[in-house]
Amino acid sequence: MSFSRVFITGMGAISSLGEGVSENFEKFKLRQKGIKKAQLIDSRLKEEFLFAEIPLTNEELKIRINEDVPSHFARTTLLGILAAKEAIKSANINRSDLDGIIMGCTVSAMCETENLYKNAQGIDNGSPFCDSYDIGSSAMEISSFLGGLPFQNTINTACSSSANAIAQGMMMIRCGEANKILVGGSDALSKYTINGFNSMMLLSADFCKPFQQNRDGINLGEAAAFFILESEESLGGKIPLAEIVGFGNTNDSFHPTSISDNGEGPFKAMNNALKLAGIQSKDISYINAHGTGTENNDMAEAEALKRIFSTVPPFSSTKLYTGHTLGAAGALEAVFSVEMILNNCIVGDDDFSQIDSSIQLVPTKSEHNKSLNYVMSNSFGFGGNCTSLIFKNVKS
Amino acid sequence: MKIYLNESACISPENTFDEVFLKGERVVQTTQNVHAVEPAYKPFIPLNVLRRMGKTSRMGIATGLKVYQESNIEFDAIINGSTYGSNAESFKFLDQIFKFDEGAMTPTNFVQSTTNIVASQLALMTNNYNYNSTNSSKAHSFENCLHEASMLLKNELANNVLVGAVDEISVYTYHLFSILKWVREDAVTPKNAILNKGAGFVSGEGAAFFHLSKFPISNDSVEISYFKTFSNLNSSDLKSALKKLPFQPDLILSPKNGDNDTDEFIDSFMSDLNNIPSINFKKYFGEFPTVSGLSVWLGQKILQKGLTELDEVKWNKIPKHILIVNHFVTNQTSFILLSCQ
Repeated sequence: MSFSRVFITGMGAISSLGEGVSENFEKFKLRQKGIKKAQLIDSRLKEEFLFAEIPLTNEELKIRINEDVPSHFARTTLLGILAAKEAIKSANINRSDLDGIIMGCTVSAMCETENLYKNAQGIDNGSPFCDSYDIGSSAMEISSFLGGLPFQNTINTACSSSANAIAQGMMMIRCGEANKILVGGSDALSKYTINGFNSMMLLSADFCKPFQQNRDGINLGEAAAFFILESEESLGGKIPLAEIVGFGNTNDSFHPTSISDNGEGPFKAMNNALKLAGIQSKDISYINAHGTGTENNDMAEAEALKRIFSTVPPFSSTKLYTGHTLGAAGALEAVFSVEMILNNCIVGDDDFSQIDSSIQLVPTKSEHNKSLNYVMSNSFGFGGNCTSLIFKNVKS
Repeated sequence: MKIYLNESACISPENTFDEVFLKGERVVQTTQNVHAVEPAYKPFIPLNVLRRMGKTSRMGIATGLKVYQESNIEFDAIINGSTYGSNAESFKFLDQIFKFDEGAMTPTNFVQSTTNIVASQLALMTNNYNYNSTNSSKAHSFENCLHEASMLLKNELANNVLVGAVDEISVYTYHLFSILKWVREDAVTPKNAILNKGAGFVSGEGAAFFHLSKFPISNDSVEISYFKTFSNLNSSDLKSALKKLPFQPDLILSPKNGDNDTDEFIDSFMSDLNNIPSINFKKYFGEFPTVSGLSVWLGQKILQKGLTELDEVKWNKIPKHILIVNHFVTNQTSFILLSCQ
């Protein structure tokens, strides 16, 4: 059977760095951080840790959407709508052209943590979110906002959710099941998740320090990022932004919340992505690492990198600038990967200071005028869910 | 491209795990929700692991492991569907957040509450490093897993997939369903609810897992000859969609749940199929968004065992094609057609 090539023709993003892909990338290129003391989130832990919060209230998000939005759409959905609208516009297609939506998500309307608690206890009947707390709701709400798309799905593989949403969209187009599909992810900060990560002592009071000796945890963040994926035949004369050529989805099969020391799951994910792309490890120009800044992830990921690459290519973690946006992370980092390809540059970790003696790898510094052929983007989640994506420069 | 169902397992409010249900044994529950009859988990899950597991985890993992043990192969992928995940664990953790005002908490409930816990634990417990995924899309959560598995097959990335779905009813989902006015307030069995219609449904829970393959594994393999999901379609569009089935079914598993409005809608789009014998599967399993997984188990067993009756419903010949229709209050519909080889 012959398979279709899969192209990215539109992107949209909102994160703590900014609204829209260009504001995000401009600030990213200047190595600004969206990580700071949170203002809006209802959690007393905001006094203790740093977060990557989007500095807009839900009402302000609704004003930016500038169309009617039902009252049961929670923050996760509102962020998703903004990114989805931008992606559709940048691909220059109509909402009705879309064959479906596949979204990575881990909180949905659970970001309304207080309402959820009261509703579930049967104390309060007043909240509009009672049919929106399940993980699949946000994608269905975005679909209905866009006029009702034929196919709707949500993937929750924890922190690799939206990378897997992109991979599932790629599969649908590759085998001819779809021509144009909206894929990505959205997660809002929530009291629920913040406390979950705090209970595991994974939050940092400082900026996260991926791959450094003194790293002490993550900065939780919020974001939404969406892509339009199109088949070769659906492109017409349009020049795509990038091609997606490979994915690898594996399970580390080791522990519910930590990755094996030799990074077996990450190793296999990267390996499978290379295999599907039909390229060799030396063809990778840059790796957008998962690099959360936790002791366990960075060690295991580095080990897997050393096992795959005889010389590890330039790599760094964009979580330095956006925090860890959980279900949206894979898609948001894919946006930065594609923008780096389009702008011939790498935005690295220029302030890296302390090598971890047991890792012995140093993330790349920023590089300008650097043509990137293939960029790999990694996302690993709880439950051992590991996914690696490979994007190709369409000009090379 | 064809897709086949092979080994399977099901936990439901009836005795489906040991299959005495198929011999006519029935469980009577008259509570507002019908709860799963949970099996002895010991042959599947070590006790020290079982202690930490929520109900979603144990039901999903035991059914998945039973299929794994009976199939005796390394699956190329493990895919689970769940609408509410381990919601009881989520709410236990939520309780800690508010009780201790975001103070020191134990992470066990949080870790157990992640939606991907079933698929990832199945990978861990079967040493499986391959493709692993969890879908959630209300009443299409199970169907989207079938879709994802078929994508893997079509992309030549897998031949054998462990596919399933699970949901549990807890006091918390019951509260949410009550606020939404989804549940039947008078205590009736699901069977009586269907006979004596009223407002709302009797909720149920359960899990079903399948070995899905690209090629038939044995003479017992049942083909999924068609499946499709629909959102927010009106009655006449669903009626025309039913005309596009590749085979005329000789038995229907019907999704009526006793709720006046739901059943009226179902009757309206299924009226052309009135002459075909039909079984209401929700009278056994109750209503919940992933109940279609359990209905596929029932359809598969009827075909494999060549049954010609189930309780008061009799049909004359051994069925070759069974149509499973599901419809949920969120206005999501699905058709799944099972066929003998």
